[in-house]
Amino acid sequence: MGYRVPLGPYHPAFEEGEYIELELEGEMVVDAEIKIGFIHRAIEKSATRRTFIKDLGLIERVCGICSYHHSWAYCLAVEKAAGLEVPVRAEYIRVLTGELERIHSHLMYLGAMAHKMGFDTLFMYTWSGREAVMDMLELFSGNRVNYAINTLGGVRRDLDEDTASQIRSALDSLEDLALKLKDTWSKDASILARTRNVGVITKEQAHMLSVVGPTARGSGIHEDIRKTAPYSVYPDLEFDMVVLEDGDVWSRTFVRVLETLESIRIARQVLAKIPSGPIKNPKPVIKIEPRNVMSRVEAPRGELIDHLITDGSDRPFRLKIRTPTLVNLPATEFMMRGCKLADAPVIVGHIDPCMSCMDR
Amino acid sequence: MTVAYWIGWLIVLSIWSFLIGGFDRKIVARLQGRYGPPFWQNITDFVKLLYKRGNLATRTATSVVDVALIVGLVAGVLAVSVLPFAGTNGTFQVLAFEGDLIIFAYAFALMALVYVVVGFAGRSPYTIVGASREVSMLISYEIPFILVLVALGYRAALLGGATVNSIFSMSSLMQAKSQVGILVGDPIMLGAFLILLVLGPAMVSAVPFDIPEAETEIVEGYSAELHGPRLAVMFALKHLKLIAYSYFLWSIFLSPSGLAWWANLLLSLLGTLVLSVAINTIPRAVSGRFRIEQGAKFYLIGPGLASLLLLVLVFA
Repeated sequence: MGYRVPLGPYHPAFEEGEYIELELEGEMVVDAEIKIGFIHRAIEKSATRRTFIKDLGLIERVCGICSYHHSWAYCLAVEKAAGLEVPVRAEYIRVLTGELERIHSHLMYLGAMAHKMGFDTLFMYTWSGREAVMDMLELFSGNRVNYAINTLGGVRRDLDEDTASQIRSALDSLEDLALKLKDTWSKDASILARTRNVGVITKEQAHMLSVVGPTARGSGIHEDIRKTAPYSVYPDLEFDMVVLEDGDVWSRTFVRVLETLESIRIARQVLAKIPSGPIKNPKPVIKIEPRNVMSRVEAPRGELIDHLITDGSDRPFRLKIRTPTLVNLPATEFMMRGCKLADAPVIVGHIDPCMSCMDR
Repeated sequence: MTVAYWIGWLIVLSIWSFLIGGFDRKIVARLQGRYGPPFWQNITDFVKLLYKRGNLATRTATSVVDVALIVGLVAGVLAVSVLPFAGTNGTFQVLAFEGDLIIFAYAFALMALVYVVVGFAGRSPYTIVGASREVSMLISYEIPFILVLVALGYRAALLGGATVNSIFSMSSLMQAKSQVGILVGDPIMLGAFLILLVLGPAMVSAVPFDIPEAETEIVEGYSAELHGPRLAVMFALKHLKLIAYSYFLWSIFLSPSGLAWWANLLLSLLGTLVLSVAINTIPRAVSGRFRIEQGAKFYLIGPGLASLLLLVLVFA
């Protein structure tokens, strides 16, 4: 006879409020239902009450981890609607910040996954190594979390040579860490036992479930907005789209280990290629003609879409933020069915869910 | 006089068990690149829990939990009491009789059963899942444990010249020890020691086999509903289990004989610390947690087959 086990809304495996009700038979998950909305802050509605420039601070607070990508997607949408050109140097700085954020997000995720499996030593080492990238973001932007580097038409802070050289040496230590993680995640018996052949979905099922980002790429789908719908200066930079075919928790996690190395590669190229010039378009954005635009960026968790409608005033008429967790999380219900109870937190956690992003 | 010695040993071992728990946290923290809490932290945690309110959820069968916890403490004291302690004239046992080795095994199983009873009496989904996982783990590690004890007792009887009737007796183990010196010098005894060492993490509920507790899955499992003094007793019970098992391994297999009582005391404290680091701290620091079926399979196939082989070798 089956019974129900609740995971959440407050649970040691999850950093944020989320509620998952599991129907079990023994240790087998027969059904899973995820309930969302615990961290709703009405950010989209609030955005329509503020001016375009004031919205930047608000949008950056959608998430504490991928805050920069939210502000980037918003800037892209507003700049598109206003017809605002962004200087090339600013684009390079944006890519640098975006990739540093991806490194810290992926490292945070890898540590959290180790903790979910009870491997706290790996968790501590991963987060300790992550401090290097947090320090660089603080050095560069003045902030560890919400960097406030973006502004409409460019960026707010320039990159000097001293900062660039410190970032270069931090990238070396991060590469060492990422290579060690690559070794550990591909060899450690307890990690392989907990992640191999767990939460398996085929490429076709992944398409059907509309998963995005590393969750899709770990299921064999070749989809990375930086490659498939390039924006900013990504077409000028060399990097590989990491795709693994196995479709289990391990492959979707290992994608992030390899992507950390690719992000380090991109950051190094940015530091080598960044041209001189202005960092901001001086033209102010006050009122925008009626427009209906969309912008897409590849956030650490996957494709992030901002849909902006303007009506000629100085504030958005409507702003819709489609976050990657919103599409990835329902897929975990499917993945959990037939798995063990012990796998449930690992399966939910392996998509790197961000409830703050999703609930907005 | 013997009883006074015994009470003294019980107090020393109880305090030492908390200090070992503190050292465990400190060592793991240092291995993880953290500073860690002071080594006396577990004593202050225990005292703090005693002073906290211990309200249980209304659905919990409170009286069953209370009785189970008392039985657990009695079983813990029983497990320690059948072990040979250092005295002024060699070693002494408070409870020494034919079959005291069985009492030790029984007391250990009883402590695990207390977890099961507390879990089912908690009547929360987490405690019930924790209790059922404890049952699965208990079956998987108790079978090799009992087989190893049989092999151990029979081999000790052969080595010490005791009769087959006394194969489950600590005194025959001590007799064998006096013949061989340190027991792990004998290949069969070494095999038994290694199997018992592998069984250690499951016996003391350490990662990777803390599956019935699994904080990130079932929120501490069977003890999820406990608070205050009841949680303090559970906390003490886990420490008692760790020290009893470590002291069992130390006193039977590794402790040298013929030392002065104070040297024996110091060596025993050091030995139990080293053994508890081996069975509790190191596995916790270098591995993640397994799933219940993986843990159960590991013990039934690995130590299970090894203990069967050991038994065959002893009787061959």
